[in-house]
Amino acid sequence: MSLLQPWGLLAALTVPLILILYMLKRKSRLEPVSSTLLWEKLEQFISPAINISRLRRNLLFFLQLAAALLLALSLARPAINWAGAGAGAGTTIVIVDTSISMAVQDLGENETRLERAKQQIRDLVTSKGPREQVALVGMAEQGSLISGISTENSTLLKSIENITITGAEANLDEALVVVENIARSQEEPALIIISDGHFSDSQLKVDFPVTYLPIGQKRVENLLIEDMVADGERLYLTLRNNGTVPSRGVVQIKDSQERAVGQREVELPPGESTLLIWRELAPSPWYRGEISSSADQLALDNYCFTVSGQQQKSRLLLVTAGNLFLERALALQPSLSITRVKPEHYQTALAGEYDLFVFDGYLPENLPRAPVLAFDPPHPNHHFKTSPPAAAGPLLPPSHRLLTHVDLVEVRISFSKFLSGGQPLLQSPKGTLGAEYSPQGQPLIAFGFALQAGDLPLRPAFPILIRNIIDYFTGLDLKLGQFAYGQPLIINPPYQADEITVGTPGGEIINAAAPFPYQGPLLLESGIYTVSAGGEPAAGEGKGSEEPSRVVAVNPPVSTKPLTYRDSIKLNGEPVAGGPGHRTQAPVYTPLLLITLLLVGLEWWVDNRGY
Amino acid sequence: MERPLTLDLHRLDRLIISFRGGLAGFYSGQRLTNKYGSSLEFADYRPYLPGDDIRRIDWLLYGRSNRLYTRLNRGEVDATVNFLLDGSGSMNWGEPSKGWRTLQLTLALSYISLQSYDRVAIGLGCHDVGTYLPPLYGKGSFPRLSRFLEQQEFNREGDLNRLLASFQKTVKPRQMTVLISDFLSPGGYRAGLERLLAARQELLLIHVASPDELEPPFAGPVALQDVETARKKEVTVDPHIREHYRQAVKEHREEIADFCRRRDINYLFYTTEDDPVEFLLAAAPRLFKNMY
Repeated sequence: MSLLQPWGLLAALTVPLILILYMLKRKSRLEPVSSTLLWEKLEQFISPAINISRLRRNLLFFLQLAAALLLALSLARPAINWAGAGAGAGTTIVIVDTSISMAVQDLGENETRLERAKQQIRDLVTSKGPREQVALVGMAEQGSLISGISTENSTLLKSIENITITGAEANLDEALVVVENIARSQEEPALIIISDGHFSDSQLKVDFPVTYLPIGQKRVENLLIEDMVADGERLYLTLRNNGTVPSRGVVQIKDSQERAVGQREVELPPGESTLLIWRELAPSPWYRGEISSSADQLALDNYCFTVSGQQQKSRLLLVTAGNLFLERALALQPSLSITRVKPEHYQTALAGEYDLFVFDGYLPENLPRAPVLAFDPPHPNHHFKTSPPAAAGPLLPPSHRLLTHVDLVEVRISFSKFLSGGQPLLQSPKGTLGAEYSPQGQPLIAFGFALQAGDLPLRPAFPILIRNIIDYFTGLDLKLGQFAYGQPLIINPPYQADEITVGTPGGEIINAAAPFPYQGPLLLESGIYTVSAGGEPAAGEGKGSEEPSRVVAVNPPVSTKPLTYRDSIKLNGEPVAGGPGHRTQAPVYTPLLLITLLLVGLEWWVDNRGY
Repeated sequence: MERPLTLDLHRLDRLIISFRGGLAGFYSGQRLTNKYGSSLEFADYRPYLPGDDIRRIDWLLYGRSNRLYTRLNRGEVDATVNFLLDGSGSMNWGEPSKGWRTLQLTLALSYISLQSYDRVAIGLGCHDVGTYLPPLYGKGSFPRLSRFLEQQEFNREGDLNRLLASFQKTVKPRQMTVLISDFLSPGGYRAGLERLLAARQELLLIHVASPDELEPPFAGPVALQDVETARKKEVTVDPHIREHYRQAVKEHREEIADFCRRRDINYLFYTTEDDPVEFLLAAAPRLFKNMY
């Protein structure tokens, strides 16, 4: 126990004062009695000046003495030292490191650093006063609010259970930004940082007390799979030792059927990495790399998943006399392999060689049996009716799904052919400028104007429009979304999807339905996620109607930096209080004051009863 | 006197003080003695002697035994009951005061005695018998006795031992002496009582106490002033001291009772909050017998 304000003990001077007052003869009043004979017999108990025996047996005296002592002790603000993390302030904000280094299980410990940190926070919450507030902030690449300011133990304890590893590196600056926002409205905030010190010191200035409670040991043995890529029949795996001692282990590659397809025994000194390559692997949708090492202290980064092969690109034939805007917009699409020919070189035989066709100022007599995008089609043509070029007029607000996120407010089209039939896509008051047709069961999207006839290719709307159309032609691009370990699942599918189904490695099914983007639960399971699209295709006959399914590999965060441990940190160049074995001072003066009040009440009662 | 000594004395009409031992009286009375006399109480026979009153010959016995026997009866004398009242200043304490209750008790016991044709003498004093009422006899003396009592005061410093020694000179053997006191005499009482016992007195002690002497009504620091001696005593009356005082009162009372028990003295403890007549009626099984 220690005293936060030792000068408060000066109040204990009242104790000898009370003692003297009791020992001194008190002013007495005259009481006549029939005889003092019997009172004389009590001489041994009655002393006219100093009466020690009176002190010994006077309940009132002892109560007053106890009250004075307790009051003096309360004024000195005693605090007990304990192994918990409480700072005793009105509001305690706890930053807990949730980076991958906190998943290390130190030698001699049964739990990971994060579990021990959680236990420290539990101790803090359960031992705090009923009015003391606690807020929890997670520290990874970003600061995250785990629990807002609360006095409710049940709420805080529930939040503690949800603390998990969410990132590869800890960033104190980011966490302090969150803390600063919380502390701004608090009168007496205090900050506690629970971490292994695996982060860079911050130069931010903090105006309230900060305590650093380190968790961990300097010695860490860890091998990790930094990266793994399967490219065709080859698999590249980067192995790293980010521990502090040399480590050896066995790296094993398994396919989707859990068959071992490769194995290497490795030994790495600390800080070194090596690239392992497997060739002529048996085909598999995905592979799993796994490190087996009995002394490895960080199990979370011993696994890595990768999806095999490169995504098959769609072959697109661009038939144009030369259109730089269109070529650049199409080149932005990573899923396309583009070939350009001039209209005079186009042959019907080419129709079977490509997956998509874009015709600019040209339409062949026989359309290929593939999705077609056409700008400035000839007038007349054999496939749909057009009008001669005329002034287009202002564009009407878009309503077609292919125009999602396409901002046409400032787009001006000077001249255009007006289209007839099909499903209108782009309209002006004078007629249809763009429409969707479906000749031969394949989608045909035609715009009656040349790109140079307006400022559309100069606007951000143009590449988005091209992206929407290509996505529609090629099917879902399921990479639109977030599949990152420790982060919430975010699904933001292409325009034509109404429902996305995600299968987790554990077999759980997550159905994400419109409206999008959809935010799902935190992804805390590394492995292969299966993503499939449901819902209706855009035109009911395109490639999107096949409900494509993809696999996505989600790997735990890995830190390539050495797993350093620090028992002291600095903030704005100043060392932070705390350190190993730091025992927090929890004030106990409030209960002491309450006991003092109780004693005063008891004293009043005793005095009233004449004891 | 603070108020008249009025009592419902008729409730005591049938009581008569019972004596344990033999009495010595000068005049014929209603107290049977162990001596032969002229009462109707049969005592013994003896052979007839010439000169005996022939009216005392038991002719029925003569008829059975053919011998002359003279029948003897017990004698009847009057008894003298002496009242010694502690007239010290400590008796003038309480509401009602111990002195006033003492006078009431004396009046009631005197009434009983006079009713039973006993003689009643009263002495009152502090160091010695200051005022003395010689033995009175008969119911007609009651008004005089009552007036005497009403004139008594309790206001001087006393010494019970000396008072008893002084009173011992006025009493004659084989009489009854009733001592009424609060026994709060610094000099004690034992020696005086021993002298009365030596004077062959049958003793009755009535210990009078005021309720506020048993349980002091004050607390905290007080300067106690003895109303008799004017001496002061500084005391802080707290629960601890109060408990010791209670214990001292109890021991004082038990000490007197034990002294009396060892010497076959009747001892009664009376608090002034009780009615004297009720008190005497309650003590009747021990002290009195019915006249009829």
